[in-house]
Amino acid sequence: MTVARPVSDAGVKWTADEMMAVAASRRLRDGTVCFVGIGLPSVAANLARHTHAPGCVLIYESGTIGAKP
Amino acid sequence: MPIVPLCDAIRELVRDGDVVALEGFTHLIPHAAGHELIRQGRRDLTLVRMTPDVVYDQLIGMGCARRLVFSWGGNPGVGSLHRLRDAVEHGWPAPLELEEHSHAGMAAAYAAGAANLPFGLLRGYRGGDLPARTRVQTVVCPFTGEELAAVPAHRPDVGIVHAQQADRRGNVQLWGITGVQKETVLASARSIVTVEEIVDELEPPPGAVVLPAWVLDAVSVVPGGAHPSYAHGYYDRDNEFYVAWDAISRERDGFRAWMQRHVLETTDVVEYHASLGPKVAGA
Repeated sequence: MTVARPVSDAGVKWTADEMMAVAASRRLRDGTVCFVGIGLPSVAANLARHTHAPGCVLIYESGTIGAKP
Repeated sequence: MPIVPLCDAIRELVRDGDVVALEGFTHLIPHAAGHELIRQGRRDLTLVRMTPDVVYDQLIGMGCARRLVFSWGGNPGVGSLHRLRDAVEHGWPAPLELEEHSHAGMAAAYAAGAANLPFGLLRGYRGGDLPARTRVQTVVCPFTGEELAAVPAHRPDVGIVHAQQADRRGNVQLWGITGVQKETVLASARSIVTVEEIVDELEPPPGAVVLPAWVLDAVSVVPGGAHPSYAHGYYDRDNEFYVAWDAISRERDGFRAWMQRHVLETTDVVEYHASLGPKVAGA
């Protein structure tokens, strides 16, 4: 499925997936303990961990706690 | 407890109609054992697994299964399992009964089976319609009166898992994401473990799980036996393969051609890997 990339006023292009990941990641705070689903949710959680929430604790259904994939 | 070829272990320990659990969540998935079940033409199996993924898509698509007991079926991060869907929606190549659970319910059921208890207890299955269509009952805590979920214990005829190492006496060691492999083996009447290698001494990494030889029925040396899954410390997950599986398995003819070339026309895991070549071979 190809979707035309929207263009912001500043000329930066983004996809819906990218916007969803960013929006979701901003809901996680440093120190949040989060159960993470596979796929886009994992992208969002790790984006948070790599940026504004380095202390975010990720728990995956495979049984890992404090995962840093 | 002997170390035997995988073909012998499967031939002697798995029969048509058995309840078989191939376990390993994301990690150490026993794909090679699944391929051997397909080569030997096992039929009418009840397959049990947390997250049926590529290995059960292959077994179901090759007509080995009559029933699936599972939590979350799909190709993780990629999409739908086309062979599983075809069996459920169109009965191809054979009708498939479904018994669906939550991951926690499956884990509780394995733990109960391993402990020789009749059911697993958990605070789950609430807020959906799954209890109306699966084997779950409500029990009341005798101390607090809280309503909890009871899931029947898993007692497979055969439990099959993959591990990194065994010593020469057949003691097995696995580490990394260890999932419910121990519980699966202990809950099963018979068990087969495929391992990457035999070592002189098991040196335990942190968090390692040991399966002593006296709870196992067969240990087989199957290097690369988890592919396309991974073995921590040995090789990585073949992410490209999981993506490629979507196209390989989408149509019946393409799926059968791939299985013919890479499973039926190979005799073991070494020939399977050789048939894939340096990169994953498409349909």
